[in-house]
Amino acid sequence: MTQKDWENDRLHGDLVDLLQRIDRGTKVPPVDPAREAALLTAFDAARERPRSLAGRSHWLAIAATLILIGGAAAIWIATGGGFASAPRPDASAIAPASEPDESEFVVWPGASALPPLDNGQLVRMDLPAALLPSLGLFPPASDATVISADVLIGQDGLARAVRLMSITHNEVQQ
Amino acid sequence: MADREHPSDEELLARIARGDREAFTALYRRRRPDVYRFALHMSGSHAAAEDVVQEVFIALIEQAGRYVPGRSTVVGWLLGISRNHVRRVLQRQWRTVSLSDESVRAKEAIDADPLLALARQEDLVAVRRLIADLPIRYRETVVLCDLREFSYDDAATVLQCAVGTVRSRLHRGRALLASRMRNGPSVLRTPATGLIV
Repeated sequence: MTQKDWENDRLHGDLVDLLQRIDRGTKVPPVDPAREAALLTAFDAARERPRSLAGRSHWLAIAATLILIGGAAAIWIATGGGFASAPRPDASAIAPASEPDESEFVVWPGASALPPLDNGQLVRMDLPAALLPSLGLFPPASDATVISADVLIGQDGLARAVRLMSITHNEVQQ
Repeated sequence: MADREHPSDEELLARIARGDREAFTALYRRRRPDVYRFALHMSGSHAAAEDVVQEVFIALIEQAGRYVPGRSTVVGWLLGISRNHVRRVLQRQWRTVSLSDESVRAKEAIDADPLLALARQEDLVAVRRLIADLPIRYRETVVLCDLREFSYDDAATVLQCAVGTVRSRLHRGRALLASRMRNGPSVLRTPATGLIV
């Protein structure tokens, strides 16, 4: 063994010792209850999915019924019966009873560069209000620090889109 | 030895695949530190490490049934998933956030502890930075073999390459890291080997 080999071995030995001490000295923060809750929500959602697939025939029957009703209504109107002669309400006079509870989905930053969404899960989680501008969202008028949001998680576990819920923790507490 | 009160990782994973919520919680709490440390060493960022942990366990929900016992350990399998997520995180250039994030944590520790902590935190931050700056194929080998103390065989399974490739990447990674330490911040050098030990 040459002097250089010996020095290299010693140097690598020191390096490995240093790295292992760094790993052992790395403190892992305690489990964040919010993150664990979000995971369990995702777990429950994944467990529910087979049940919803099993009940697919039920939904197909409902969808078929709705299509039949819609078709019948269209024929009824086209033949001049019933609704065609009824006075139509002024659209401008119609006001929503209340504001919608949920905002629209917006694309998660960087998600457009990800593979197309094949399937995913909707996970409700609490987001810091301060994070919202970076997502392209305006925080609600209230002084809530935490906002409930639905995050669409793609098949690869990466977020694709987010929408805010109108009810916040602070509001619930009030 | 696994028993009813302390099931093995493999047993927990099998139960997760059958939809057992408690098994999922148990495996998450048991193996979260392993995934976290790997992601932290790879990214140099606590924030990125937290995100990778979350993404890995979301992926586990879907993929628990795909684990093949005997092909790798559960930890190795989880780190294989982590590796993909870390790469995506790095591609999204979260590392620009990460180093300052590390510095902030170091400063917090300094504020709370005496001068000894200052030196240790400076060393830690500097070494982490050097590791995070290694080319990724060397970095993941050094992290697995030297920091996480995986065997060459287990590392090869995680990295999906030959054992010989692990050896050569490790040798090259260590040489790069040692060279950068010798030329790096003074806190990392000693007269003997050029490294802090």
